[in-house]
Amino acid sequence: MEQEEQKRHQSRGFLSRSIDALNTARSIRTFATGVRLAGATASLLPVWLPIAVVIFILLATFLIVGFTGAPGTPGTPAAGPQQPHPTSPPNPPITPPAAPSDLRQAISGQFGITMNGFDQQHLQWAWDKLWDVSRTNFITLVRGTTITASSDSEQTGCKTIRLAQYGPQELFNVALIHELGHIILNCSKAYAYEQEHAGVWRTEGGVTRYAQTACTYPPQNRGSWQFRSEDYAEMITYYLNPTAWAQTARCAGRQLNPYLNNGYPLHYNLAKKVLGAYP
Amino acid sequence: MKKKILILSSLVFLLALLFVFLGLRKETVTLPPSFPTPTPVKVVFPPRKGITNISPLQKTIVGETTTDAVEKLPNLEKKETFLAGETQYSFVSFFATRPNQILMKNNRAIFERIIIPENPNEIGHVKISQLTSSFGKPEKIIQGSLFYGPFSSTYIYSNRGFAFVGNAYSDWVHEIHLFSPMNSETYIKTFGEDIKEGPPEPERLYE
Repeated sequence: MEQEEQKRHQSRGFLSRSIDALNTARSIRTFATGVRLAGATASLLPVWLPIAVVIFILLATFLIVGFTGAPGTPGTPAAGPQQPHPTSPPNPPITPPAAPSDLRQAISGQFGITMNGFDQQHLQWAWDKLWDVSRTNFITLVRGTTITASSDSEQTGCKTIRLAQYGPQELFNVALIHELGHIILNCSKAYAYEQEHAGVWRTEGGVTRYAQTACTYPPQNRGSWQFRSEDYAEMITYYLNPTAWAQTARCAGRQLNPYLNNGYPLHYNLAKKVLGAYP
Repeated sequence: MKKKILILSSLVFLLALLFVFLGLRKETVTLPPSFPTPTPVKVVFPPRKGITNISPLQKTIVGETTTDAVEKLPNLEKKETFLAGETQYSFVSFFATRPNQILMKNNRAIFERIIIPENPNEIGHVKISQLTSSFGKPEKIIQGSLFYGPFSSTYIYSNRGFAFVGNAYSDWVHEIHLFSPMNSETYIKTFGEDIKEGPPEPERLYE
């Protein structure tokens, strides 16, 4: 028995020795291969190094130029589609500067709007309101309009308006922005979002009672265009007069501002898209 | 020898990578500066056949397109049949309250209304100035539209089988009409229901 166990032990010892030997041989071969490879790499270094460096520099240069814009004009964006709206002008001071002596001339010079036949009081109110909304895109969209003092208010041509000298100031501001709102929809060269507005109008309905009824028009003349057109002008009016009562037309009466308590969110968001942030 | 091939192929691969990168970069820099323009116009004769390629949004060739083809078109909203034997198909358009329309008679398209996107970045957007420079002066311009208001006009090229409604001030084309070539009086009588001549309706807020 003991002899058998010794034999087994010997054979186990032989096996483990054999495995050890094999492992050692493998390690030697691996080491030798490593040495050979290292030697080969080392021999290639003089050839590879300059080529690799040049390629790396070229790639890095093009990557950097590619991310910063066209060569020679770092940071300039690539030419793309025209922007539908100009960017908002820098915010004007909260209070307008002291009104110039010739308000009519100042309104024309500052905002590109000609006001004919208005008294000093209404020119002052117009100056104040136009100055107030000049932080948005509004002035850019209505520049070139001629407003003539009249007994009532309406858009008479593509860039012409008749406007009554209403009082108090809040009503005058509402009518002024309402009529200029028509100019944006009907005659602005900029993208006025008329098609998007049609969807908003269909979903939320008219934003004010006047927009819902178009009551200044004879019933037989109230068509899709009258409703959409009045709704667009009202959407602009109460966005830029957020504290005013809805009071555009006598026949529609007087209601709270439609945007109070987050009312008419689709109209509000579209007005914001057209004009930019206000106040 | 193998090493040399390995080195050369690595070099070629790196150079190819470089060229691919340069090619891609060039593509982004040379983007077209403006939005897509309509495909070139092709007027087809004999004149009974309507215009074939005025807008990328065009769905029919008047006088040729059959009912089967129209019924396969996507975004159908409504199908109406009239007593005169005409069938009108209305399709979803860019304008929520104004669908694209196709009018069929005797198994052939006789009229198509294409609503043009207002967004200058949308495919199919087109300006009045682009159409008038392609087609020349219209036979007739009538100011006033029931749907688009008194500041929009209909530009009639009825002898060539089309007309469009647009706003001369904004230069935006609202919609294009396609039909068989005819004289302008016939077009106005047959398809000119949106035309409304006259000055703007007085608004009179506080009269």
